[in-house]
Amino acid sequence: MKRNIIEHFKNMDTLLAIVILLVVSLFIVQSLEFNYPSNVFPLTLEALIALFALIILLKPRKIKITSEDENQDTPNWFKIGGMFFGSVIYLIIMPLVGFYITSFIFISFTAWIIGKNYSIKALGISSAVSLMVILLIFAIFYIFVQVPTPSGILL
Amino acid sequence: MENDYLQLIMSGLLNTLNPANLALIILALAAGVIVGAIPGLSAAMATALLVPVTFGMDPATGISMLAAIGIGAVYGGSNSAILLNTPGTPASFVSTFDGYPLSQKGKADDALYTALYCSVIGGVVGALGLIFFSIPLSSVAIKLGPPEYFWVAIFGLSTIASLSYGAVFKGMLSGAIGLLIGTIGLDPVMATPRFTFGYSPLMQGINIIAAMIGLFAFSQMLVLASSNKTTIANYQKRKGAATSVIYKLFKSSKFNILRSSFIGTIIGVMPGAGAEIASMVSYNEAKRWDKNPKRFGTGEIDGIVASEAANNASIGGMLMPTLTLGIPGGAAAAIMMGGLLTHGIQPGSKLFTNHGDIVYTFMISFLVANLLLLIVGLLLIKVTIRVLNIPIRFVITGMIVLCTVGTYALQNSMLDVVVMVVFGVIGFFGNRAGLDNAAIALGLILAPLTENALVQSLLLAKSEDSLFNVFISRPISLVFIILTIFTLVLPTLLAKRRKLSGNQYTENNKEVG
Repeated sequence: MKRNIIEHFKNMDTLLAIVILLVVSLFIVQSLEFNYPSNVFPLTLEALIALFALIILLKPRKIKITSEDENQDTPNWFKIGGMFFGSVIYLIIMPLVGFYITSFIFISFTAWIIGKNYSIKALGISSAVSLMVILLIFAIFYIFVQVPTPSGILL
Repeated sequence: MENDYLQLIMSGLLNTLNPANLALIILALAAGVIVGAIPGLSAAMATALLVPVTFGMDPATGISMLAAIGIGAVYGGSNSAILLNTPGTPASFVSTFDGYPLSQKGKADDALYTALYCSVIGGVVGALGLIFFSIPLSSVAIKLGPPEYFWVAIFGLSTIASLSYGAVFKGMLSGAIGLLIGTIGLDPVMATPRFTFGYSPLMQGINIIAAMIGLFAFSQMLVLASSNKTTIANYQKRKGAATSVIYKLFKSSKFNILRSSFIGTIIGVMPGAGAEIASMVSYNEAKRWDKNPKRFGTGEIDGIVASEAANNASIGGMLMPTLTLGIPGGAAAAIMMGGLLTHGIQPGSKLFTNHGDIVYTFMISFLVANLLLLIVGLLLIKVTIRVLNIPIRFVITGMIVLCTVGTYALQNSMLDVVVMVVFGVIGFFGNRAGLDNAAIALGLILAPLTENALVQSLLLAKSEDSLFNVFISRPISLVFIILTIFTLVLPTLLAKRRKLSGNQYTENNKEVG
């Protein structure tokens, strides 16, 4: 178990360093086109980032596993995926349909998906709570504070 | 002259204690706490929303309400920081470090009461500073030039070293990533578009608040979604928590409270530094002087003390240059200054002679508002703490909706909402890979200040033909250089000293044994 955790952290470090080196090289390519003094600060930072990433990639690793690491839950990727894609769809539909209607649908379905009970009754409860939340948000943001929200064909 | 001064203070006190004025201040405080607790709706935004309401009011009352809503919002931000690991305002992001772990340990009420009491004390210290030291401190602030600001920013960045205990390279990497992201958009000196990758809306840069909502709120919602919990934390109401916290604070944190309040006030005076940097620096100092700094970040009351005392104290500090020099110390102060101008009051050196009665009514109201925050806060804690018992799936989805509306309201831009989600994903995966979201946020906050100051100082050095004269030899710069070295070196020295004294203690015990 402990060995798996150590391997996991080592792989994470390697992956992190490689991703950062790739991204920073994109930034460096753009920075080379800037003139003085616009390039001073970004180039300094890019050099630092590349240096730190290389240190993380190459340094011998002494990873201390804390009890917190050992007790960490395995992430529920189904729920994370459900929430992430739910959010993306929410953001795509929102400017078309309108903030309040989309938010009502988003809360109802996403709360149902990331809950533990997938019955129709649970969806009903999610929808009822969602309606209350949206009415409250509508009262605060639309009526009292008058904060602008994305508007679509509906509300 | 002294009589005039006392007379102005007395007249300010009488105007403030008018029941209608007090009622409006209480209302503004409560509204501020609620708005501040919603991610994206910052103290500046809360103040801006209230400005039109104050148009028809007496100037002193209107400005007092603006100050009260700002005070409430800065404190309100700590509620969501503690309960949801999501700072309601950027000023309270440091409160997440220890506030959320305390909530997870079932001590949310301790954390919330600590935040309230320290916000009140910090606010009162800031208000007293505003009343008594406005003029002398502002005259120092006006002497700060680009080289001094550069070192102030480096001093702020040096706190990353202590933030990232045990993973210094990843901490510094996170800070540098934040700084680099902060350079996206138009360069502040030459207005050259940078890192837009051909996408022109990015010329406006990455909105810091949108990015911070993503880093802290959206990523935290992903973390909560990935867990198997049904509520955020197990919380059971404890009797006498409000009074036991007061006892504990006065027994073991009184120096921390005072130190953090002074740091907050002084940093608030520096235009552009802001409540975020105030709370960051004061957290760092609290950690540095603590006998056991490793406790910080794991649910240490002193972490909340430092952050909350400093961020509320900084509001008083911010108002000093605003009133005396007409240079707003921060965004909320700039909006308050706008409020003053709409009432025909021009901040600056003549403010105290031309509108002394209004200014002192405002200052005393500011002090009283900080005291009234205690009552408003105590009433609202009972409501906000219930969020811990709400099923987690509704907290997550409700928070995402609030984050969306809060982010969109920043500039009426869907791009900001997309930025929020992208940073949420970066925060979630970055955190799993060991990056430090707080250091990224600090880098983002300090990027404009650091770059502006660096480039202007370099241009100055070119014209003076001496890097040494510009960067090193100026007295205020020297103070910050020494403080930075102190910040970087002292934790190591103190750790060695503790280790040494620990060994001696063990040896002595062996001898006794």
